[in-house]
Amino acid sequence: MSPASLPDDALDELLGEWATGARLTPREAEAVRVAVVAERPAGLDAGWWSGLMGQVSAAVIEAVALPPSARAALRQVPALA
Amino acid sequence: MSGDAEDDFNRLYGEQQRVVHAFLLGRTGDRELARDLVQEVFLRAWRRADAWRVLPPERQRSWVFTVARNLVIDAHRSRATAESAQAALERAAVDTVSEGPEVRAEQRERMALLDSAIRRLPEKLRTVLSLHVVGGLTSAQVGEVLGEPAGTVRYQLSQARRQLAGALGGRS
Repeated sequence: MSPASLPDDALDELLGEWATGARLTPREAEAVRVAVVAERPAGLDAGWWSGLMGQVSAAVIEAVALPPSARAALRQVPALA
Repeated sequence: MSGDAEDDFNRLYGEQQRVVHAFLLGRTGDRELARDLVQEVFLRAWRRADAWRVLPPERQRSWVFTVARNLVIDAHRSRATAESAQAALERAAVDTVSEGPEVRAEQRERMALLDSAIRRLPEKLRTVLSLHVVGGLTSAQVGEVLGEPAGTVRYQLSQARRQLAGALGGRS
């Protein structure tokens, strides 16, 4: 390790934090699963699917760790309320 | 879709979601795109349950990763990855941390630096690193996913760590 590089234990700690933030939360993972198994058999109505995906996307956005101010701003958008 | 198929799908999803996501995160370097691709991978698995349900478990994982690889290739072709990388970096910089303003600002800066450094890693190293730290796989398991010997994975991991340590040195 060169004198200018980060010590191993500090890098481990940072990577652990990064990994925690990078993973899908249980809520996000469940939202994805629910969206997938909600798909109807072939021939489903495109409008229905589009509407469902809009709702799921909104739920996922809210589930992602946004700052409280951003979450509050999202709630001001009628389509996402 | 029968209840048995849904049960099988739920099992596959529960077992593979985290690793598939880690793989996609490594390959794309973009959290948002990786999340979208996870959904697309498992949507295809759901639609094609007949194709993988008859396979033994280890080949079911291979089936899923084949889909994931193909989707990454499509994403690269569309050049969406490059365009969204900068946006992902900006999003990462505003991730929440619960401490006070000074600590939060420091942690945001550290995470943004790390995120940026990880994104600058060669794709191969980033994928190995992501499978290891996000997916929680051992070097041998990473090797199984990527078709590489465990020793090669260990070397790539050490290379990735060395590059990150150098990029972050003196800043933390």
